[in-house]
Amino acid sequence: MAKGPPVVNSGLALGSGRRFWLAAAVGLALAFACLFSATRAFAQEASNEVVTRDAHFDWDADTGQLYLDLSFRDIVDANLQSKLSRGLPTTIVLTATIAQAGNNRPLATTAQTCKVTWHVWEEAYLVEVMRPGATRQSWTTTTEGVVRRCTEVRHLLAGDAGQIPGGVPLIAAGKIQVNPVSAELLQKLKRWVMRPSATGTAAPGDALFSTFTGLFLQRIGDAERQQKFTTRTLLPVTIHSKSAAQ
Amino acid sequence: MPHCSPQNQSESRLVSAEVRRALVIVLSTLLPFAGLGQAAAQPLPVSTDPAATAPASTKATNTWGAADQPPPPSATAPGATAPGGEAPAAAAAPAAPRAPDLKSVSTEPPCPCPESGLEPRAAPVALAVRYTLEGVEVRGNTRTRSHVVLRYAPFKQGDVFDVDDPEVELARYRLLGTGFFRDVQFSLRKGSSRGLVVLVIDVVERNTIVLNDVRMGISADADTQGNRRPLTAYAGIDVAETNLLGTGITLGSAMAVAQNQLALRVRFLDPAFLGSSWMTSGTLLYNDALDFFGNAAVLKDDPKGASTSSSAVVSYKRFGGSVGVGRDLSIATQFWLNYRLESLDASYPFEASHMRGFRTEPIDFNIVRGRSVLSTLRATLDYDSRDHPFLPTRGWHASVTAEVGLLPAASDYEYQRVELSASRWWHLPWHDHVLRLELFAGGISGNAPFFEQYCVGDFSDFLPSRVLGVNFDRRPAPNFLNTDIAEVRYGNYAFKLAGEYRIPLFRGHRSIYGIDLFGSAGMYGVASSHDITSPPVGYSGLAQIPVDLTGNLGFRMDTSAGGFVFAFSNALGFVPVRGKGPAGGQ
Repeated sequence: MAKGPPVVNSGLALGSGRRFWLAAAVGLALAFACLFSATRAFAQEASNEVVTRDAHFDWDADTGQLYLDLSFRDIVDANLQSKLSRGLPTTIVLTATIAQAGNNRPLATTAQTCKVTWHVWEEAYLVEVMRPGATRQSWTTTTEGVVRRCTEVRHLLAGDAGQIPGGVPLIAAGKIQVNPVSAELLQKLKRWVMRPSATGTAAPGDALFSTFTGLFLQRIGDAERQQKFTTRTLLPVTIHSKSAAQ
Repeated sequence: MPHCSPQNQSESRLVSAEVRRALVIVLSTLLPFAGLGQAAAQPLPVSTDPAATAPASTKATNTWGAADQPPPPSATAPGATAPGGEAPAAAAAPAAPRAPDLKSVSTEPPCPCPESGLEPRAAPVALAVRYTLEGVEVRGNTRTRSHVVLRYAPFKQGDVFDVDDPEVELARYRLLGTGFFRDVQFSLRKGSSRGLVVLVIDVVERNTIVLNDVRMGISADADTQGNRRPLTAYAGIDVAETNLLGTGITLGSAMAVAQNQLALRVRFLDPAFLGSSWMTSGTLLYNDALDFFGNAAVLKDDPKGASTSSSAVVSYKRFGGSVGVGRDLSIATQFWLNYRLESLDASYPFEASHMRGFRTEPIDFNIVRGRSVLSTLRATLDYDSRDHPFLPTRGWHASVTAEVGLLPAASDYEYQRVELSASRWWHLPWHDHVLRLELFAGGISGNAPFFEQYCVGDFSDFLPSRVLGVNFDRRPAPNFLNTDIAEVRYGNYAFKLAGEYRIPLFRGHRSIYGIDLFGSAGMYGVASSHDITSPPVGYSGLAQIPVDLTGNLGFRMDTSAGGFVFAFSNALGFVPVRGKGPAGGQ
């Protein structure tokens, strides 16, 4: 037996100085990759900007209630229009908060849900609009009828005198969601994808666990499509519903 | 407006009773999508019409079926106008503030006070749209076989199809979750007679070749006396086709390469063997690798003179594979049984010794010289309730593994292994921070080959872990606690207890889904039976317990290309950190 002498492998051996610079270069490359990726991601998210929409507030002096008019027809693009006639429900949800101009604290909230179902054999859309205080079902045979019912919000109850001081400029902000996925369904989906019962792909612990699965989990999001919006500062127009009715 | 809810008085200015009632409507709309219990999913009957107050399930069973002529929609939908005609726009834009002309079906008083004992009932009687399925048609699949698609959509001919059934949307997401398709859409078209429909599943296939892992690094070596040894570069890659020939079977391959070393893997997974609920898996492996033994002052008898290394080098080849069957015991629990058979061929110095502590001791290579056979049976019970595979915020991931060498039937190695690993994540109440605790404990009794034993590099974040079973890095542990862990490279026993704190920095929905800053710290120990019964000379007291600290700091990124970790320890992998034994520096 003999003590093995220290051997330097030719070609792959590096001195300590070069090793330092190599480590530094790799570290810089990693940092750059992180920074580049993050910048790119933030740039992509910036496209999910808040849209400023035209709106109108009515203040009913007789009942002390505030009403909102808002239109978001553009949310129904060609892709969504083609989905409407597939026979399965499509839901468009508007949620909004009302705040006093210059103050982000919400004074009131409101919502409208519009559910559209194409009846295959009737060849007509059933549109169910649910909003504070009322629910309306109607039929229409055209997508224009669907778009008008679901995206042209008129006289949506947005608050009352107990919540909103009269005569102050207001602003509405919120989001419009197409086919929102509830938290419960999201959790159920995630659990299923994590452990695909009998029909799934490789397990997460497996090296072959599909990166697409992780991708999918993130891409589900809160809705099939979502758009945040805000309105300009508006002073409610005072109306008198009772005197108008008389 | 009176304050109706004593529980909500503080918020009464924020949300009016009517708005709260509207939220009830919204929730009642969303709950069916949520797949909650039927009681929650059923619309709340509010109509005074007795027929309308009947449970939807009895009222609407196959309403549109061929046997029962469909009633006019206006008769089954209170408040609905007849189909085929455009409702006047004025109906959708009422002038009155409370919208009485909206044909509201609500009969509730303006304030549904909880004192009355009744919850608000604002939702209408929804039409349950149900058809009889005449068939299911898959379109757009050029590679994926239709039966693979239908495996995820639990609908068949003759079923009553409820368009509001949450299972429909769930099935669509399941198909998207396979990763086989870029887009999946369900639609209905008329069947051969009234009331019958065909469910059409349109899929857009996507590339299903995924890159699972890429590793590159520079391995380093040092003896326990602090003497540097050469650096070598290594690289590894793992690629998989997750939808082989459109069958839904995953076929993957992996390779790792370094100077004079090569490791190959081919793996498959069939998630539904012969269409059953059993999963099958298989692996083929080939390793032609080296491993370097000896802490310091290595003396060896190497008559062939093949090795020029200062270490005692084991040259070995592994060839074989494993087959396994698995089954889901529940949505979170899975059981696997694997059989492995490998042929080994190893050569190493006839005699070798090294300095272990202050004493020269013979090196035990823990592998049979020449040809041998390794055959084991392994059972694994896995429980996984995490909410995300890469950036979990809550849940458990725990597994228990037992493995036995099949001696004397078909193995030259008789050993038994038991392992327990558990991790739990907590979502902390402040700023979505996440805390994780991790525990691992494992023990091997018998003569397991060295590559089956626990390796320090697999537990310390400051050392690269093994790639495809090959240990490219040859540094000892950093040894922050000055224990005899510096003398240990492989062991029969191991434990790790660690904690991790994560701070979300970014959440997105495009190429980067999440970036978290994390910091972790923990303690681990690796020891062989020899380290316990005969600790190396030169260590005393608690230093005879081979434990060390580990820790990491960096970023976890969940991206469309997979999960990545950019951490402090990665950089350390390029800057050799050398532990020293008691003889270090002498």
